[in-house]
Amino acid sequence: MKKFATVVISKRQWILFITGIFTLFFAWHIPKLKVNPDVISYLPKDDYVAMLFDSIGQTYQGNTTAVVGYKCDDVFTEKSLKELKAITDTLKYFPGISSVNSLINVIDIREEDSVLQVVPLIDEYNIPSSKKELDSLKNYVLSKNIYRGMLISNDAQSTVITAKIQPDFKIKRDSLLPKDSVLATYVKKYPEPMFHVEYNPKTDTIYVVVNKTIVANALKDKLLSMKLDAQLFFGGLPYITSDIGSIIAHDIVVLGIIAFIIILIVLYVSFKSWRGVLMPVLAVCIAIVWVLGFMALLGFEITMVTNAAPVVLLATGSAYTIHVINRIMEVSFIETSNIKDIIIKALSYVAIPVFFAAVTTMIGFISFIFGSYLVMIAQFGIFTALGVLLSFIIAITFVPAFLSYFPIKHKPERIERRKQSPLNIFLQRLYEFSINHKKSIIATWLVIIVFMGVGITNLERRVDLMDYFKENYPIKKTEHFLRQTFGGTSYLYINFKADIQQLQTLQVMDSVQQFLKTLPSVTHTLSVVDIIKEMNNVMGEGKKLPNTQEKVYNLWFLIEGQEIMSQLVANNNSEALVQATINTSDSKIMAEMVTAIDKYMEKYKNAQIKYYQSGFPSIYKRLDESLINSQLYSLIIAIILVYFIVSFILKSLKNGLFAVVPILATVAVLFGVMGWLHIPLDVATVLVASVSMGIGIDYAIHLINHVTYEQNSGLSYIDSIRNAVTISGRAILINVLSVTLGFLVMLFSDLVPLQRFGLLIAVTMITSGLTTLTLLVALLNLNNQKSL
Amino acid sequence: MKPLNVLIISLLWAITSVAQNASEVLKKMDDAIYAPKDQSISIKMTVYDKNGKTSVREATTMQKGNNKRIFRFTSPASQAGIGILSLPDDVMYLYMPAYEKERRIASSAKNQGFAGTDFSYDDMESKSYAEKYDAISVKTEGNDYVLELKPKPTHKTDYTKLIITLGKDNYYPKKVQYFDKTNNQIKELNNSKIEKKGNYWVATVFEMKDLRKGTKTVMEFTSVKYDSGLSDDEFTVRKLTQK
Repeated sequence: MKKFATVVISKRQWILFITGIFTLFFAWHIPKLKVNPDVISYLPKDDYVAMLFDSIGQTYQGNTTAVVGYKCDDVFTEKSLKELKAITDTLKYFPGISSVNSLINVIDIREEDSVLQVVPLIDEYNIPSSKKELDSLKNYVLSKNIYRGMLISNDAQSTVITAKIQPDFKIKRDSLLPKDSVLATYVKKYPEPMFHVEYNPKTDTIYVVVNKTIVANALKDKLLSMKLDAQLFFGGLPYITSDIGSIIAHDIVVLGIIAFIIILIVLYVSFKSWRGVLMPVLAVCIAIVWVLGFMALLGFEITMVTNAAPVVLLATGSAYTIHVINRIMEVSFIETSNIKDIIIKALSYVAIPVFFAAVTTMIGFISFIFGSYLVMIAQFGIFTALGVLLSFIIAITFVPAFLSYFPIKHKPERIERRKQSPLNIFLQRLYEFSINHKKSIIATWLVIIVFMGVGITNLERRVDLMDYFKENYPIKKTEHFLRQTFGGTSYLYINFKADIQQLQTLQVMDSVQQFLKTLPSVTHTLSVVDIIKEMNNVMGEGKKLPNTQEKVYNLWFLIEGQEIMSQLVANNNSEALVQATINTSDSKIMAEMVTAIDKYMEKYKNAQIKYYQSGFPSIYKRLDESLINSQLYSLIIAIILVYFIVSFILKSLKNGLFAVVPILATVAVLFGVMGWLHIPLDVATVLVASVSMGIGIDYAIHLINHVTYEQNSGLSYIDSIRNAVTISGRAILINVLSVTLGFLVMLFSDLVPLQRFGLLIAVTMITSGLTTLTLLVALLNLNNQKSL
Repeated sequence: MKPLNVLIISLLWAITSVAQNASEVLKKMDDAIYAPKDQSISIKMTVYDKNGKTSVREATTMQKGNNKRIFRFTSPASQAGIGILSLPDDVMYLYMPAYEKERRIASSAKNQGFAGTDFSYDDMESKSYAEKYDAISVKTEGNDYVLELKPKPTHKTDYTKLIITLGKDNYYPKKVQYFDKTNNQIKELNNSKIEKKGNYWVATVFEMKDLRKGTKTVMEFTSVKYDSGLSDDEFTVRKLTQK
């Protein structure tokens, strides 16, 4: 290690130069980073549930719906109807929109003056203007169940326009187009940022990705720019995710800066030197810049989870530099040789424990890659692990190289003052307390663990997108309004594969629809069955399915080719959709719904009808299951790996066990706190256990490593523990304080999961610090051996 | 004929054809399409979905002038017997054999697809183009005229512009391009096998592409009979319900 330290000092100019160049290079790429708040893309592409959802989109012109609420004094005035027509037209021709449903263009089946009409509800070329016409239209619309509460509010003051966003699509190259101008031509036709065109010259196909949230937002801007008199609301998943996206972008900047400042303050208080403060932060910032630049370079996007990576790195990565500086300062108190020698000596000692700390933390993060089913969590694992590695490299190269030029100066009296500092006194007392009350400490921790264990039984897992927003957030109010008035903005789909024109198939679909209506969160259902029933009604046979197959065929003739049909029936009448509007975004309720439907469908197993369900409930159920798997797998993998590595480092399976005890206690406290405070496992909180494990193990390694080091230098076992607690303990405490305060900043996030994430990280930081400095010390003391 | 006369006549012909305005071309095109007094046609429609899968519908139709028509499906079996009677002034009757009833139906949903094909009710209508559209301009391209039409204010349609390519010699349309409100072409009709049968020019294969959906329908006249002297009695509700 001394050799390595010598090389670092002799090549210090190169190190500073190369670090600078790399940082500029990566920083230059960061602006290209994009935010991806699309929840569905978090599932792997080949996931069965994600594929079914995608297939619904491909078959029925889209699976993502933008919902526009329109509110005024009375929808049935000439002016309002004209505005509605303008909105409908705008959406119909808007790039990226595949179909629009509104009062203006919904197909109405009725009998008027004994003439059968299968026509748009309102004649767009002849919008009613007289009071008589308008009143009669209003009465008619409100009298029909398929409109009331679905398209028009009970008080006729609000209506809703839904626009399906086009799915991604493939096109064959226009054969007249030369190959080298294909991309340019299609990019012009499908411009960024609403679309993203990819051309594969091998297969000669053009793939167009539709950026659904961008389309939804462009549509919102367009409608708002029309300056309509009515109030417009924008709801549905594209807007929810887009809001999450903008909050992510906002949080990353604002919270990052605040966390940064707080960490600076804590470090200043600890080191009492601006260089001591700036170094850890500067080092970790360089690492963050590299990671973000790297992500941008490889085309990765920021998700709801990778969003937390910079803050997590600020917490974990700064520790390595803190340990390096702490050690350099320790050495410089004792020795007065020149700064290069001091650094070489300090680095020769500290590089090893810092390396092990970094490796174990990386394992904690890498375990996400293997343990996690969710793409974003795996990505979080990759990039935080990379960040940790980079922070470590910077801490042992750039930091000492920099400090060799600009040493942290300290006046002699500071050394004395440091010994008298509250931190040192606290550590001294803590040490004495741990020695004197080792049994009660262990007993206390046991009680805490049992208490937390009870809390774990209350642990909930549920994802509710709406819970992501604080109460007064506009999108939450909009969703509430749309749910109250129109029954919701998200959909459940059951796709049937059979000869849809068969009466028997329609009867099955009908019974499924009747069943869906009995589910508490389903507000409306829609399928071709409803249209057939309406038709049969106007044919004078009542609002039910026709009694013969021939009648179905006859009715089918009239509805085939209607615009609505392509949203309900596909592939030459071999597939059809039952669509249910749902008024919940609670993963638990949705999971129950999915299970109930599967159970109900069992009785049709033997019929010649295949079906699958898709939509938000299935996606959510999948995310929910994946979360638990992610959590369990990555935690188990991480703990086992860490145990063996620590045992290897400490050359003892027993000492490895010592190091793992504080982690296990911390994990118990974490889950216990979550259980007691009713904080559910969700996309953000699921990460905490592994993050805290990665950080917690560092403390144990530093402490145990320090004890063995002091013993090797000839100190007694007891004195070695004392030095370890007071010297390494100091770095640990500084780290606990700075990280805890840094993470508590997340309490100011606008996204509830991020708030919880911050709180839980703070809880685990404090717990790991305390378990290391009390429980581990007590256990070490209890160890009958005279040495480790 | 003296060479001078030939020259004068040719010159006059050339001048008049240049001066011939768009409306006249439109009228001549309508005349060419609706030249037969009556026609009895067997139709085969092949519908291609976006994956290229096909389904076939067959029908017979009788038409007198351009305002009386009876259309009856013969296949597939599920649609056989369904008939539509179109009479002047947008009066339309539908006969559904399974209900054993005829119903008068409103014809205002013209922009919707006809029986699952890429032809809309509007496209299938036998009304002359001049009744629905104004000719805006005409230009010559090789042996063709290219005619631009705009819907009359009274005509309710999703199309905002039609561009029709028709032969100079026979005024029979070869290609129709349909544009929507954003001036994007949304559909294209290609007529082929244009030949003279008896006194009339006629296409017997019509391919309609829906450019947005990526689907197409090929309508083929498998047999055509002109001027067989169909009487008005063929176009009554009573006839519609007889099978």
